[in-house]
Amino acid sequence: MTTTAHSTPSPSTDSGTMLAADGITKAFGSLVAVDDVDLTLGRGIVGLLGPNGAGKTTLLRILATVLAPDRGTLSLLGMDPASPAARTEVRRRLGYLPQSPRLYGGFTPLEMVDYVAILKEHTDRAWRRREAVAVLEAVGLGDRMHKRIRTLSGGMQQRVALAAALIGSPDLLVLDEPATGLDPEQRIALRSVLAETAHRGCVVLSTHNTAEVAALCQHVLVMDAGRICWSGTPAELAGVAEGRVWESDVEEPTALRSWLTGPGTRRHVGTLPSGTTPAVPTVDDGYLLVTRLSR
Amino acid sequence: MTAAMTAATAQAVVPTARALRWAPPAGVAVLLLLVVGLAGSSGRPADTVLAIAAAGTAATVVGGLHDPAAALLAPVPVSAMRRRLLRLGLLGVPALVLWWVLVSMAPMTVHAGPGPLLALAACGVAVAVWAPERVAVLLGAATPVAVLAVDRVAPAGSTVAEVLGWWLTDPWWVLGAATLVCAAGRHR
Repeated sequence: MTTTAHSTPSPSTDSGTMLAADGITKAFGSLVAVDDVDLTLGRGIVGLLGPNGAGKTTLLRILATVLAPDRGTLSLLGMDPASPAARTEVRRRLGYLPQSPRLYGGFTPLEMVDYVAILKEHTDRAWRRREAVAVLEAVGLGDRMHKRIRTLSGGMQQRVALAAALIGSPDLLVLDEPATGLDPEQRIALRSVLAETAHRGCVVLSTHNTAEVAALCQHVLVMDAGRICWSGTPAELAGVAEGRVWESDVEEPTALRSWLTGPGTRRHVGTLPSGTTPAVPTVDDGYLLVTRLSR
Repeated sequence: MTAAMTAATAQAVVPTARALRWAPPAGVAVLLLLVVGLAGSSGRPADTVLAIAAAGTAATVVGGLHDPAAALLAPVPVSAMRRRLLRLGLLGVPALVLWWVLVSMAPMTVHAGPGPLLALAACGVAVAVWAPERVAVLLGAATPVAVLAVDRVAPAGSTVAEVLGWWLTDPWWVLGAATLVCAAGRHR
């Protein structure tokens, strides 16, 4: 996949560019939510990590054509969404799952997905019906598609919204915390669905779950204070903490970040004290180090 | 507009009607029918009551723009403006019927045609189109009521009272201006 980000060298390209952002900036009053972000993405799954308020949701809303950037240029599927005609064309090939989506409680999942399909201009009723059933089955709601949405659990409602995003096999899928409210089995099912989509298109998802990123994404972008502060593969993110993570039974005042682990020992990231054996780094360690060092 | 968009909009009529919350408009309609019916039975001019009814009906129609699934539907090819128009059409027809019934129940009124109702509703829609997303429908729905309230409390003969009274004296001009404001925000 093609993936480059601000202040990061471009890796070699093996597929076409599906999304390109150059100097994207978005402010709300005095708050700069997205600050001069450059991106180039091709096919595959890209995970967007970052603390709350980092600007992930704003960036995803820009990539989903919901928000227009104040500055910078954006190309989605080779088109400029600043033009209304191109934006409509992009939207025909786009799937979007917002953070905490709300649905019509009186609709069934099948009706909800069908309605979204209509608004995506899929006007062949028979095709739409087949496709709606297929995406609902793909997200594990085949047996609940005729129940009222208000009777479904939060996780199931999240999957209805995901199915709505998947309808029409979009080339660009933008998902804001898609795993929220899903149990482990549902998360695994989600990975399969997204992996399938990533074969033909670009999936950009935000999450707080580093394990999710490690399991699912070919590329990770770490965002903080509106900027992409790190870009690379999950293994490279874990590698950032190589030789900079260790465990002990006591507080380490020199550590950048310390936390108590399940077995009762303390895990630290920072400059390894001399004579200490480093621990095997995880994506979590790399992420913590990157966000600490970027401040 | 493309043929696909036209077909999609046509097919969206029934599910959009189902997605609308009909209980609040129905409640407002019953209340207005009662109030105007009582005022009409007294035989006195019911202009004030009808003015309140116009603002209430317009506010209810604009309030129908609230779409719980708006975030999910934000990036669909059928634009937000087209979806607003669909909702307004679905709510507007029964609102006009209600207005016709209310006017026919109230004797000796200056609010004969649908102009004042349409003018107030269009002002509300214009505000909803241009207001910040989170409060757009709230501000839009409040606009007809606010226009009426300020119109009533503004000193008679003042510029404010005159301008705010245009919805009643020159409703079609107000409707035209508000429609232009909405058209200018068609990509919002």
